[in-house]
Amino acid sequence: MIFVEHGPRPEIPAYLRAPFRDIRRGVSAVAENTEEFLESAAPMLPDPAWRVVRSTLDLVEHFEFSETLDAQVLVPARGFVQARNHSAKGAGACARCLGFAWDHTHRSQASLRHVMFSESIAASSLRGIPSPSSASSSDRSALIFLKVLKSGAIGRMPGLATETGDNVLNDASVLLASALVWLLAEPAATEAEERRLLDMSLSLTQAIWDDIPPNTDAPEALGGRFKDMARHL
Amino acid sequence: MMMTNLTIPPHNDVQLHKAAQRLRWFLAAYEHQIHTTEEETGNRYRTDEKKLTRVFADWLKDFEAQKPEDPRDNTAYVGFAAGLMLRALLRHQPSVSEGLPNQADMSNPAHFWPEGYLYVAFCLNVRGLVLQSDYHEEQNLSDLMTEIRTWWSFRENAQEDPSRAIGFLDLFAGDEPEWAFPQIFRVKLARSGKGRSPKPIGPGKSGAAPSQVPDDGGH
Repeated sequence: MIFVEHGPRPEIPAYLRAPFRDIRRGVSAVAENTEEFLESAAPMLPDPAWRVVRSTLDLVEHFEFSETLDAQVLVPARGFVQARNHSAKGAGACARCLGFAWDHTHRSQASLRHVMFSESIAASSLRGIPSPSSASSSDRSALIFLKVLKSGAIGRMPGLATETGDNVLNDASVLLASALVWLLAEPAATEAEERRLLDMSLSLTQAIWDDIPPNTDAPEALGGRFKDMARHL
Repeated sequence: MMMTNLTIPPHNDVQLHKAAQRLRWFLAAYEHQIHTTEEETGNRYRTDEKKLTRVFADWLKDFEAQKPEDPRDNTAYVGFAAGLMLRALLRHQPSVSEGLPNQADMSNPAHFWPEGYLYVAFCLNVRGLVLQSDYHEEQNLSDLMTEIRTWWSFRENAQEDPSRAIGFLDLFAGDEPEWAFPQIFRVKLARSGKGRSPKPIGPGKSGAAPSQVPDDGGH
């Protein structure tokens, strides 16, 4: 803990940040699951030993990079979702924001606790989205939604014998849609307010998700719904 | 008992009726209303934000479904939209009373039905503010707002059918209520003589007041 909070932090090159965040997500999820599995063995261990194991796992589970979600990420991400920029940087920033949204909200969904999000895979899939010459701005958010869902960026942790339930796809879709609605909406003034706006977006999307046509062959209609929700966020 | 004015959250350059269609403004305004009502009445409330978001989502759906095309009907629609909000709040009940002040007076509507009073105060305050800010009209509340017999009737009717709350909100706001089909805007518009729709709606029954509304309830 002392090293994490006060020790020297190496500067991570920009091209490695997304894979590092994915590794951190993976390690954190493994630690969380290990703690759950070891819980049943806890009575067999001496109390001090169990406390050391648990605090170590807690530390790994909650380890976070010092990076914040500021305008340098949010502006290009919003530009990409709103089809105002089409650069690889925009795609990366968008994937970064989707990863941020996933980290911020997925534990509130019981079915998604053991499901992971890969920012690297998402960014790679978003770079393949056509520019507005072949895709109108109104369906850009829907294309992002469909691309990410089909990319394999969201998936169950390999090697874990945990039940994920039947709602994974639906709940992951709602969460992803809420992140896009957040990026389509008018920005908030501070990072704290952005987090609050993200929470509101998830609640609003959950509340009206049943009204969204599940027909993923109609990206125009889906994108229209996302925009409409963003207007009311 | 007077209803205290609500301090509204900022809405930048957006007209208030547009800001009120945003979840972020709605949640902030509702929070302001809770503080205002707690100070005014001594009541204490606990609120579930998930339910409150559900209220907003349901209201939005109802609001969009009946939005008039003719801008001349917008002012009337402000009042109707406030009634739809009251109905959604009563359906989902996002706030729960956690305590009344010592020596609460049960003939005071705020203590007789704390949740209902909070919802009505919120809807009337937003209604009044939108009318004043965007349409330069004043809302003149009825004396029935403080009349406990009206509140008995209001609570009983709203529990039976939350749509009847729409008529009661009109009553409290000093407007002519539509009792037969309170949930249909065009009926209300037609009855008020402002209807611009060529099609008559409904079976044409006279709008009978719900049970136990005081005789002078309709003005």
